[in-house]
Amino acid sequence: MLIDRYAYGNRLRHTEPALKAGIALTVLTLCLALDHPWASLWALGWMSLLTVAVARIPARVFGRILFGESTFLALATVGIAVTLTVATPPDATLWRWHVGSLWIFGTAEGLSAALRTVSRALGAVSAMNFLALTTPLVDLLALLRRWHVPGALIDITAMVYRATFLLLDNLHRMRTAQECRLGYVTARNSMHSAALLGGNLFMKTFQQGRRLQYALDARGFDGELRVLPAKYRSNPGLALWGVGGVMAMLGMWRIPV
Amino acid sequence: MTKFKLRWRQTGAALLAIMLLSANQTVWAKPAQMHIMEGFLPLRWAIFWWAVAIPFWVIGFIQIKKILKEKPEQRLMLGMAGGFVFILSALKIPSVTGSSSHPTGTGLGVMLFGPFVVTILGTIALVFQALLLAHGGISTLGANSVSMAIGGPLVAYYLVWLPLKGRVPAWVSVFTTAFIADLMTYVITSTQLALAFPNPQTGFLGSWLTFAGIFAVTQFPLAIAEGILIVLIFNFLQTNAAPELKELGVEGI
Repeated sequence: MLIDRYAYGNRLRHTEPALKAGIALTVLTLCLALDHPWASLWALGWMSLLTVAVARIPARVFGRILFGESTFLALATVGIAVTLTVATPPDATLWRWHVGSLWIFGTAEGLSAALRTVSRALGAVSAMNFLALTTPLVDLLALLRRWHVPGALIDITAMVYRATFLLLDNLHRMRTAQECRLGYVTARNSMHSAALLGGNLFMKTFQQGRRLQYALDARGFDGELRVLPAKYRSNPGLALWGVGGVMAMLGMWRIPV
Repeated sequence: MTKFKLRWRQTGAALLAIMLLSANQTVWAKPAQMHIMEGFLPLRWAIFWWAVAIPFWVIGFIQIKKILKEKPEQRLMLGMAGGFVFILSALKIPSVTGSSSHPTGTGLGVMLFGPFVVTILGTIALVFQALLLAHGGISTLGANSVSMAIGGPLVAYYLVWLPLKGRVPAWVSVFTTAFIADLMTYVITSTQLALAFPNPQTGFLGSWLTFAGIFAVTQFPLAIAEGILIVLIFNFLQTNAAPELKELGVEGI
């Protein structure tokens, strides 16, 4: 949970989450709506700058998370840029390859579509990573509550968040215990170990859920979890950075491709 | 004959080398599930899949509301169950391609918690994967939800789990349900990609075959591995957690 750790300790931690979410969602929407390679690349650069220089997230961490999905990106881009067919390809191909009766080829059109998709995806990912790396999930949930998302849904999500860390802790301890006892040594064995782990985790989930329920019942739980909202600081500097970035992004959009 | 044996040994060594190489990568690997990443879908398709997903979310939410009205304390249990579905994707299971992979968890979830509840829990898990693991995304939440939290579980539940339950040996119905849930997720994702990026020469079908072919390499072994894993988990639960299963209403397998 690398992202969660940084979300709790960065320079923008106490900044109003509505502002951070506003910037990230605006840039994300613009990346999709403008669908313009220069605007997307500008978004990538600008959001990286905000994350690294303003929020002080290490550049290495940001890069690692940004390219965390490079496998999907690479495979799916190949899917867009490459054509597989049995028919003879048109003359205007960049490259072609004849395998048996099958033609594999790429066109300039396909390549530019692929590049556009890659830049759009990277711009969008950097915007969402800015939000994820600077805002803990609890702040986002409090924000959603202010935006009138149903309380039951938010409570369940908050519980899932809490349960995730409880279960993750259990998972690590159980896995260590298994590894000490020659679990996961062969493929067959690791399937067995994984099944024991999953089954035990389910039972643990049940037990802990029940214990939490007893604890809350004892304190007069009536079906709603109430906590005090956190106090945030306003940050006019960041607002200015955000507005400037969005204006520049719209400016980039005018550049013809 | 000796020549044949030697070749087998070489193949084995090569396979082992691939396994070791890819095992090295799994240290910081993302879950090997097929989520469409943030911003990958064009705007109109992102909106379209959100629109498809919303009715199912509403049905799921109404069902959860009903559960909560009858038993308010279930709020905590649902939260724990959601955590379980999310954490399940952190389990490492061996896969045929050598690299270890991670189950989606919705196949098991649908058998334990029922179809529409899993839609909500799966969607929450997707939000968490997007925000905590940078895997998947918010603009593609609709599309990923349709494939992983709606399509896969619903098809597996209504077309496989309910018809097969109690009629065939338990392991057959459990394996098939988990396998189909995974496979449907992969087929729907390929369809979503092909619809958004139809090939200019070969159209939707050509594009679909390309995407499905590329991702089959990782997704087919994953579906089989997850099927086996969930059969083993189910066996374990039936011997060790019978009261809990009964409480969830999982009976007559």
